[in-house]
Amino acid sequence: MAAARTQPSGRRDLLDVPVVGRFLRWKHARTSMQAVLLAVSALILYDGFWGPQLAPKNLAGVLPWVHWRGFAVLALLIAGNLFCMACPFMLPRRLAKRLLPANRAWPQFIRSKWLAIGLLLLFFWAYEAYDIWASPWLTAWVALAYFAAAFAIDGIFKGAAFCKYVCPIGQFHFVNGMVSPLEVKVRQPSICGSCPTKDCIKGRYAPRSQLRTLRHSGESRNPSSGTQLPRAAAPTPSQTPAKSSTDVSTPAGLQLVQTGCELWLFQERKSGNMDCTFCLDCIQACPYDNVGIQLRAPTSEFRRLDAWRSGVGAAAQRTDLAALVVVLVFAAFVNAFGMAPPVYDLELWLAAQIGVGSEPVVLAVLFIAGLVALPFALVASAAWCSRALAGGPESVAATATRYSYALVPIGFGMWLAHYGFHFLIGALTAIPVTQSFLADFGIPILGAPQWELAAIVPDSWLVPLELLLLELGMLVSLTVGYRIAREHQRSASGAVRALAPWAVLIVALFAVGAWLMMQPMEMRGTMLG
Amino acid sequence: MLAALAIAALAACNPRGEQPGNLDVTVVSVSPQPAAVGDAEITLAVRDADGNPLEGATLEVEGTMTHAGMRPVIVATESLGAGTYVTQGFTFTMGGDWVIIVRATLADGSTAEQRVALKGVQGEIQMDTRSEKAKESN
Repeated sequence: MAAARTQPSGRRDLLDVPVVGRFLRWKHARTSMQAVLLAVSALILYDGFWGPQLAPKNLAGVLPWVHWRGFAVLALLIAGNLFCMACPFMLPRRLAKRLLPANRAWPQFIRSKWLAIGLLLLFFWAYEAYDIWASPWLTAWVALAYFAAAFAIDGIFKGAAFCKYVCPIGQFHFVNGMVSPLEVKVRQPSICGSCPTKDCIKGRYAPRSQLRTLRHSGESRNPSSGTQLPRAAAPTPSQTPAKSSTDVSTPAGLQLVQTGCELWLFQERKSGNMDCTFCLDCIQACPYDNVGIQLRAPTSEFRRLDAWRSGVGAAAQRTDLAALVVVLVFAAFVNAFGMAPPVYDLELWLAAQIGVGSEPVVLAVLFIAGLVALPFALVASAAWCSRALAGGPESVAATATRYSYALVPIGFGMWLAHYGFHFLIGALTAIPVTQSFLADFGIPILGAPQWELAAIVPDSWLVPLELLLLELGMLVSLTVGYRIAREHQRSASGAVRALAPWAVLIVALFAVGAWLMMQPMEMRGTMLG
Repeated sequence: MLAALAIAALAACNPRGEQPGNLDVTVVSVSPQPAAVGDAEITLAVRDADGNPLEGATLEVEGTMTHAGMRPVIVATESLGAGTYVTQGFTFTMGGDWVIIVRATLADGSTAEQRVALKGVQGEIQMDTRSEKAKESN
């Protein structure tokens, strides 16, 4: 059965954009993007391990910490989770799926975000404690560890366990992608209702005999690569075995030609960007061409937090998800604080107070305070006040979980301001480092390194731009907070009372962020010993 | 797999590796002291591979930071004789840890390079605070 193009849902769809849409529909689109980033990763690994150990002169110093972070947050702002879409760690992971059994279920006791939260905390601490930003060698080790972890975990466990439960970068994108303007989404829900096979979650299968015929006629691609048959030759939905969504074993006589969602997001009930890697498997798998990449309001994901979402559950009841949000929001401020002069005074004071001269220990105390204790105290206080002001049957913990999502935009605003700062003042530094890299290999086709290249905007633009991003984050947070409150409270006045403590917290975070932006940035390594 | 092979091949030839410095560079002084954001003069003592004061060379000094993404400060130097050189028009643009890269074109036309760390350049706030404290003490 040839796939019929579903009628547009009325929303703008990236797949309908002439060139971009055609590219994204191409079955090798993701692989080609991953291959580009894999090649860049290989250069980073090489230069990190064996290149000059001065970050501004090394691809491992420049590309990850200036360009990748900048592109990642800008992509989240104007589109969505494009990094996960092009993630280079996925190519060796695909290799692992072929070489290793990949048949174990992810352990029940860590089917949450707690492990990823721990890894995020570990990374943020190590980043400062060991000045990873200043060490191409350590940066290369971090990248290599990512490749190894993705390979090992997804070679052992079913699906995309690494992406969903482990990857700290993925969690950063999942949380901040909640305010992105694009979402992978069903076009016409009624079509999903009548779909008997649910290929978007189960994958698409074809009889082995048919695959052999097609292969000999030169019409098919290698099915084991995870790509799909040409649409005209694709098996009908009726050829896909109807199984439970958790059963991914291949039935006798059939071969998987297109994986369904490996993060267990069933399109029919999927809502929002949480856990979505924009892998486009669902788009490739759907025999009705009923999944698109649709434009949405940046606040839409925060509606109906009590509703059950496929692969996620009810966000309002996910304590781990709320904790992930809170850690990432406060990490945005702590990470930027690490570049402001007052942090050095604080480090020295704290070292004197606890009588420890080891910087990693002092930073561990600071990070536990800034990313665990302080957020817990502030969020718990806001929740307690919110409950006291507006009443209601919900516990303080449940209130904290529900309203924590309102902090996502202000946190994202801070990440944007910080990483955007580095990108704007250093975007052109990739040019001389690349020139230097090529020249060292005797192929100076780009000329001599022009080390003076750096910024793409005048310095005077930086603070106003950062403040603008932070203000937008604050305003969207307040809007989201009110919507959450309005959905949960019977009256508008009750919603305002419930929101008030959260609004104070959001404005306070904005004030801290603005103060940080006004500080003269410093880039220091060790302060102690 | 191909990427791993490519990396191994690149590593084998390794033209990007750290080259042993063929100059001995010492920061004699930074003025004003302590080093802080703003205009500065860096005086360097430079010796050649044999340990002799480097004479008759043209020195370029690049100041960069340990964090990638900053615009480096690249200036010429003036020779004070006896292997001592002073920067012309150098400016610390940000507080933090700096690296001073000295590139020399020797009298025979050959080139040499060496780096030296300059940590803890103070930011604007500390300067303001220092100025205020100085005023108070006066």
